[in-house]
Amino acid sequence: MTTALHLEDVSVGIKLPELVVRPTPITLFRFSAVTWNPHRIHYDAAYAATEGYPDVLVHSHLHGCWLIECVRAWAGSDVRLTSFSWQNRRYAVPGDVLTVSGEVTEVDNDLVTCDLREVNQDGETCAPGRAVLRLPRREGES
Amino acid sequence: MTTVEQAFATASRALGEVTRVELGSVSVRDLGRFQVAVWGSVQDSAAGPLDGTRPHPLFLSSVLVWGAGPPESALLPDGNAPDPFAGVSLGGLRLMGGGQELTMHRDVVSDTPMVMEVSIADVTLRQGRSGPLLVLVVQRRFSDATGPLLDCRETFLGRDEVA
Repeated sequence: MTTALHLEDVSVGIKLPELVVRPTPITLFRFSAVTWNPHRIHYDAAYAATEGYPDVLVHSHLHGCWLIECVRAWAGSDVRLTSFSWQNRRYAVPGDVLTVSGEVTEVDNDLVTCDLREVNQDGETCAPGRAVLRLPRREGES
Repeated sequence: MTTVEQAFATASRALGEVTRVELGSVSVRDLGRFQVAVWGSVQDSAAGPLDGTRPHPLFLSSVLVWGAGPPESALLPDGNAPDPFAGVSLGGLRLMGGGQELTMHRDVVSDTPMVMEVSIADVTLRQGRSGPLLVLVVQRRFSDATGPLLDCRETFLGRDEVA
Protein backbone atom coordinates (compact mmCIF):
# COMPACT_ATOMS: atom_id res chain seq x y z
CA MET A 1 0.00 0.00 0.00
CA THR A 2 1.36 3.42 -0.96
CA THR A 3 1.25 6.27 1.54
CA ALA A 4 -0.41 9.48 0.42
CA LEU A 5 2.04 12.23 -0.44
CA HIS A 6 1.77 15.71 0.99
CA LEU A 7 2.85 19.04 -0.40
CA GLU A 8 5.55 19.35 2.23
CA ASP A 9 7.19 16.16 0.90
CA VAL A 10 7.75 17.62 -2.57
CA SER A 11 10.22 20.03 -4.15
CA VAL A 12 11.47 20.75 -7.64
CA GLY A 13 14.02 18.20 -8.77
CA ILE A 14 12.66 15.27 -6.83
CA LYS A 15 12.74 12.09 -8.91
CA LEU A 16 9.78 9.74 -8.87
CA PRO A 17 10.51 6.05 -8.21
CA GLU A 18 10.81 4.28 -11.54
CA LEU A 19 8.13 1.92 -12.75
CA VAL A 20 9.18 -1.07 -14.87
CA VAL A 21 6.65 -2.52 -17.29
CA ARG A 22 7.02 -5.69 -19.37
CA PRO A 23 4.00 -5.83 -21.72
CA THR A 24 2.49 -9.25 -22.23
CA PRO A 25 -0.02 -10.48 -24.83
CA ILE A 26 -2.47 -11.08 -21.99
CA THR A 27 -2.28 -7.43 -20.91
CA LEU A 28 -2.91 -6.29 -24.47
CA PHE A 29 -5.83 -8.69 -24.83
CA ARG A 30 -7.40 -7.53 -21.59
CA PHE A 31 -6.90 -3.87 -22.42
CA SER A 32 -8.51 -4.37 -25.83
CA ALA A 33 -11.40 -6.17 -24.15
CA VAL A 34 -12.01 -3.61 -21.42
CA THR A 35 -11.86 -0.69 -23.88
CA TRP A 36 -13.88 -2.62 -26.52
CA ASN A 37 -11.13 -2.08 -29.04
CA PRO A 38 -11.26 -4.57 -31.94
CA HIS A 39 -8.15 -3.27 -33.75
CA ARG A 40 -6.28 -6.37 -34.89
CA ILE A 41 -2.90 -4.73 -34.47
CA HIS A 42 -3.16 -5.35 -30.73
CA TYR A 43 -3.96 -9.10 -30.79
CA ASP A 44 -3.22 -10.48 -34.29
CA ALA A 45 0.54 -10.80 -34.87
CA ALA A 46 0.09 -11.93 -38.47
CA TYR A 47 -1.94 -8.78 -39.19
CA ALA A 48 0.59 -6.57 -37.39
CA ALA A 49 3.29 -8.03 -39.67
CA THR A 50 1.37 -6.85 -42.76
CA GLU A 51 1.78 -3.31 -41.43
CA GLY A 52 5.50 -3.87 -40.93
CA TYR A 53 5.58 -4.48 -37.17
CA PRO A 54 7.52 -7.30 -35.46
CA ASP A 55 4.61 -8.24 -33.17
CA VAL A 56 1.32 -6.93 -31.82
CA LEU A 57 1.52 -3.37 -30.54
CA VAL A 58 0.96 -1.92 -27.10
CA HIS A 59 -2.04 0.41 -27.23
CA SER A 60 -1.16 4.08 -27.32
CA HIS A 61 -3.52 4.75 -24.38
CA LEU A 62 -1.75 2.05 -22.38
CA HIS A 63 1.47 4.04 -22.63
CA GLY A 64 -0.42 6.99 -21.16
CA CYS A 65 -1.84 4.79 -18.43
CA TRP A 66 1.62 3.62 -17.38
CA LEU A 67 2.90 7.18 -17.18
CA ILE A 68 0.06 7.91 -14.76
CA GLU A 69 0.74 4.75 -12.79
CA CYS A 70 4.26 6.03 -12.10
CA VAL A 71 2.69 9.14 -10.58
CA ARG A 72 0.05 7.22 -8.62
CA ALA A 73 2.58 4.71 -7.28
CA TRP A 74 4.57 7.67 -5.93
CA ALA A 75 1.82 9.98 -4.73
CA GLY A 76 -0.81 7.42 -3.73
CA SER A 77 -3.58 5.88 -5.81
CA ASP A 78 -6.03 8.49 -4.52
CA VAL A 79 -3.96 11.41 -5.79
CA ARG A 80 -6.00 14.00 -7.64
CA LEU A 81 -4.72 14.87 -11.10
CA THR A 82 -5.87 18.17 -12.57
CA SER A 83 -4.34 17.68 -16.01
CA PHE A 84 -2.29 15.19 -17.94
CA SER A 85 -0.78 15.11 -21.41
CA TRP A 86 1.21 12.50 -23.26
CA GLN A 87 2.45 11.73 -26.77
CA ASN A 88 2.89 8.43 -28.55
CA ARG A 89 6.40 8.51 -30.01
CA ARG A 90 7.44 4.92 -30.62
CA TYR A 91 5.66 1.58 -30.60
CA ALA A 92 6.28 -1.16 -28.06
CA VAL A 93 5.63 -4.90 -28.29
CA PRO A 94 5.30 -7.76 -25.79
CA GLY A 95 8.67 -8.60 -24.30
CA ASP A 96 9.92 -5.02 -24.35
CA VAL A 97 11.12 -3.65 -21.04
CA LEU A 98 9.65 -0.20 -20.53
CA THR A 99 10.89 2.05 -17.75
CA VAL A 100 8.75 4.96 -16.65
CA SER A 101 10.51 7.77 -14.81
CA GLY A 102 9.53 11.21 -13.67
CA GLU A 103 10.71 14.38 -12.03
CA VAL A 104 9.00 17.23 -10.24
CA THR A 105 9.55 20.33 -12.37
CA GLU A 106 7.28 22.89 -10.75
CA VAL A 107 5.49 23.50 -7.46
CA ASP A 108 2.87 26.27 -7.56
CA ASN A 109 0.84 26.54 -4.35
CA ASP A 110 -0.75 23.08 -4.07
CA LEU A 111 -0.18 22.13 -7.73
CA VAL A 112 2.79 19.93 -8.56
CA THR A 113 3.98 19.36 -12.12
CA CYS A 114 5.81 16.17 -13.01
CA ASP A 115 7.55 15.55 -16.32
CA LEU A 116 7.38 11.88 -17.24
CA ARG A 117 9.04 9.61 -19.75
CA GLU A 118 8.69 6.00 -20.79
CA VAL A 119 11.70 4.48 -22.53
CA ASN A 120 12.36 1.00 -23.87
CA GLN A 121 15.31 -1.28 -23.22
CA ASP A 122 17.32 0.54 -25.91
CA GLY A 123 16.77 3.92 -24.30
CA GLU A 124 14.33 5.03 -26.99
CA THR A 125 11.46 7.21 -25.81
CA CYS A 126 8.11 5.56 -26.37
CA ALA A 127 5.98 8.16 -24.58
CA PRO A 128 6.78 11.46 -22.88
CA GLY A 129 4.17 13.08 -20.68
CA ARG A 130 3.35 15.70 -18.09
CA ALA A 131 1.05 15.43 -15.09
CA VAL A 132 -0.22 18.15 -12.78
CA LEU A 133 -1.45 16.97 -9.41
CA ARG A 134 -3.03 18.70 -6.45
CA LEU A 135 -1.46 17.57 -3.18
CA PRO A 136 -2.85 18.12 0.29
CA ARG A 137 -1.03 19.87 3.05
CA ARG A 138 -0.36 18.07 6.28
CA GLU A 139 -2.91 18.94 8.91
CA GLY A 140 -1.87 21.77 11.15
CA GLU A 141 0.51 23.26 8.60
CA SER A 142 -0.39 26.36 6.56
CA MET B 1 -8.33 10.83 -54.64
CA THR B 2 -6.60 8.63 -52.05
CA THR B 3 -8.34 7.32 -48.96
CA VAL B 4 -6.40 9.78 -46.83
CA GLU B 5 -7.46 12.68 -49.06
CA GLN B 6 -11.08 11.52 -48.92
CA ALA B 7 -10.94 11.30 -45.14
CA PHE B 8 -9.40 14.78 -45.02
CA ALA B 9 -12.26 16.18 -47.07
CA THR B 10 -14.86 14.42 -44.92
CA ALA B 11 -13.31 15.55 -41.65
CA SER B 12 -12.88 19.12 -42.93
CA ARG B 13 -16.59 19.36 -43.67
CA ALA B 14 -17.36 18.18 -40.13
CA LEU B 15 -15.03 20.61 -38.36
CA GLY B 16 -16.57 22.03 -35.21
CA GLU B 17 -19.82 20.07 -35.41
CA VAL B 18 -20.63 18.70 -31.96
CA THR B 19 -22.22 15.28 -31.65
CA ARG B 20 -23.77 14.28 -28.35
CA VAL B 21 -23.62 10.61 -27.47
CA GLU B 22 -25.36 8.89 -24.57
CA LEU B 23 -22.79 6.55 -23.02
CA GLY B 24 -24.83 4.88 -20.32
CA SER B 25 -23.02 4.10 -17.10
CA VAL B 26 -20.02 2.04 -16.09
CA SER B 27 -19.89 -0.43 -13.26
CA VAL B 28 -17.41 -0.88 -10.44
CA ARG B 29 -16.46 -4.08 -12.25
CA ASP B 30 -15.65 -2.15 -15.46
CA LEU B 31 -13.42 0.23 -13.53
CA GLY B 32 -11.75 -2.60 -11.62
CA ARG B 33 -11.06 -4.57 -14.79
CA PHE B 34 -9.45 -1.54 -16.39
CA GLN B 35 -7.13 -1.13 -13.42
CA VAL B 36 -6.23 -4.83 -13.46
CA ALA B 37 -5.49 -4.69 -17.19
CA VAL B 38 -3.26 -1.63 -16.80
CA TRP B 39 -1.36 -2.98 -13.82
CA GLY B 40 -0.93 -6.50 -15.24
CA SER B 41 2.42 -5.77 -16.90
CA VAL B 42 3.84 -3.55 -14.17
CA GLN B 43 6.80 -5.12 -12.43
CA ASP B 44 9.42 -4.22 -9.90
CA SER B 45 7.56 -1.23 -8.56
CA ALA B 46 9.29 -0.02 -5.42
CA ALA B 47 5.99 1.47 -4.35
CA GLY B 48 4.09 -1.82 -4.57
CA PRO B 49 0.72 -2.49 -6.23
CA LEU B 50 -1.93 0.18 -6.11
CA ASP B 51 -4.95 -0.11 -3.91
CA GLY B 52 -7.96 2.09 -3.46
CA THR B 53 -11.04 2.39 -5.55
CA ARG B 54 -10.43 5.66 -7.41
CA PRO B 55 -11.15 5.12 -11.12
CA HIS B 56 -8.14 5.32 -13.38
CA PRO B 57 -7.87 8.86 -14.81
CA LEU B 58 -7.54 7.53 -18.37
CA PHE B 59 -10.49 5.13 -18.27
CA LEU B 60 -13.04 7.33 -20.03
CA SER B 61 -10.73 8.51 -22.79
CA SER B 62 -9.34 5.02 -23.44
CA VAL B 63 -12.64 3.31 -24.19
CA LEU B 64 -12.85 3.14 -27.96
CA VAL B 65 -16.43 2.03 -28.49
CA TRP B 66 -19.28 2.70 -26.10
CA GLY B 67 -22.40 0.59 -26.11
CA ALA B 68 -22.58 -2.75 -27.91
CA GLY B 69 -20.67 -1.51 -30.94
CA PRO B 70 -21.05 -2.60 -34.57
CA PRO B 71 -21.46 -6.26 -35.57
CA GLU B 72 -18.31 -8.07 -36.67
CA SER B 73 -19.48 -7.99 -40.29
CA ALA B 74 -19.41 -4.18 -40.16
CA LEU B 75 -15.81 -3.91 -38.96
CA LEU B 76 -13.05 -2.91 -41.33
CA PRO B 77 -10.38 -5.45 -42.42
CA ASP B 78 -8.06 -4.14 -39.71
CA GLY B 79 -10.76 -4.72 -37.06
CA ASN B 80 -11.56 -1.06 -36.47
CA ALA B 81 -15.06 0.37 -36.55
CA PRO B 82 -15.59 2.49 -39.68
CA ASP B 83 -16.66 5.69 -37.92
CA PRO B 84 -15.12 5.99 -34.46
CA PHE B 85 -15.18 9.79 -34.39
CA ALA B 86 -18.37 11.77 -34.35
CA GLY B 87 -19.81 9.98 -37.32
CA VAL B 88 -16.85 10.93 -39.55
CA SER B 89 -16.02 7.85 -41.58
CA LEU B 90 -12.32 7.07 -41.69
CA GLY B 91 -12.80 3.71 -43.33
CA GLY B 92 -9.71 2.35 -45.01
CA LEU B 93 -7.23 4.40 -43.04
CA ARG B 94 -4.59 2.92 -40.79
CA LEU B 95 -5.08 4.84 -37.55
CA MET B 96 -2.65 5.37 -34.71
CA GLY B 97 -3.13 7.29 -31.49
CA GLY B 98 -0.79 10.29 -31.29
CA GLY B 99 -1.42 11.55 -27.78
CA GLN B 100 -3.84 13.30 -25.47
CA GLU B 101 -4.28 16.52 -23.51
CA LEU B 102 -6.61 15.92 -20.60
CA THR B 103 -8.27 18.16 -18.04
CA MET B 104 -9.69 16.24 -15.12
CA HIS B 105 -12.74 17.75 -13.42
CA ARG B 106 -14.23 14.91 -11.35
CA ASP B 107 -13.89 11.17 -11.08
CA VAL B 108 -16.27 9.03 -13.05
CA VAL B 109 -19.01 7.74 -10.76
CA SER B 110 -20.05 4.14 -11.25
CA ASP B 111 -23.67 3.41 -12.15
CA THR B 112 -24.22 7.04 -13.17
CA PRO B 113 -25.35 7.84 -16.74
CA MET B 114 -22.88 9.86 -18.78
CA VAL B 115 -22.84 11.72 -22.06
CA MET B 116 -20.00 12.53 -24.43
CA GLU B 117 -19.83 15.57 -26.67
CA VAL B 118 -17.41 14.99 -29.50
CA SER B 119 -16.21 17.12 -32.37
CA ILE B 120 -13.43 17.33 -34.90
CA ALA B 121 -11.31 20.22 -33.63
CA ASP B 122 -8.69 20.26 -36.35
CA VAL B 123 -7.59 18.27 -39.38
CA THR B 124 -4.48 18.66 -41.50
CA LEU B 125 -2.95 16.75 -44.36
CA ARG B 126 0.82 16.36 -44.32
CA GLN B 127 3.34 14.66 -46.52
CA GLY B 128 5.13 12.01 -44.49
CA ARG B 129 8.08 9.90 -45.52
CA SER B 130 5.79 7.04 -46.49
CA GLY B 131 3.07 9.15 -48.13
CA PRO B 132 0.21 11.44 -47.14
CA LEU B 133 -0.55 11.60 -43.43
CA LEU B 134 -3.83 12.74 -41.90
CA VAL B 135 -3.56 14.48 -38.54
CA LEU B 136 -6.92 14.53 -36.82
CA VAL B 137 -7.63 16.31 -33.54
CA VAL B 138 -10.75 15.16 -31.74
CA GLN B 139 -12.24 17.06 -28.82
CA ARG B 140 -14.35 15.15 -26.30
CA ARG B 141 -16.11 16.22 -23.11
CA PHE B 142 -17.45 13.56 -20.78
CA SER B 143 -20.17 14.67 -18.35
CA ASP B 144 -22.80 13.34 -16.04
CA ALA B 145 -25.87 15.06 -14.61
CA THR B 146 -23.70 16.90 -12.08
CA GLY B 147 -21.35 18.40 -14.67
CA PRO B 148 -18.11 17.83 -16.57
CA LEU B 149 -15.95 14.84 -15.72
CA LEU B 150 -13.16 15.02 -18.28
CA ASP B 151 -12.07 17.05 -21.27
CA CYS B 152 -9.89 15.25 -23.77
CA ARG B 153 -8.17 16.67 -26.83
CA GLU B 154 -6.70 13.77 -28.73
CA THR B 155 -4.58 13.46 -31.85
CA PHE B 156 -4.91 10.59 -34.30
CA LEU B 157 -2.69 9.87 -37.26
CA GLY B 158 -4.08 8.20 -40.37
CA ARG B 159 -2.35 6.67 -43.35
CA ASP B 160 -3.60 4.81 -46.38
CA GLU B 161 -3.89 1.04 -46.09
CA VAL B 162 -0.79 -0.99 -46.82
CA ALA B 163 -0.77 -1.81 -50.53
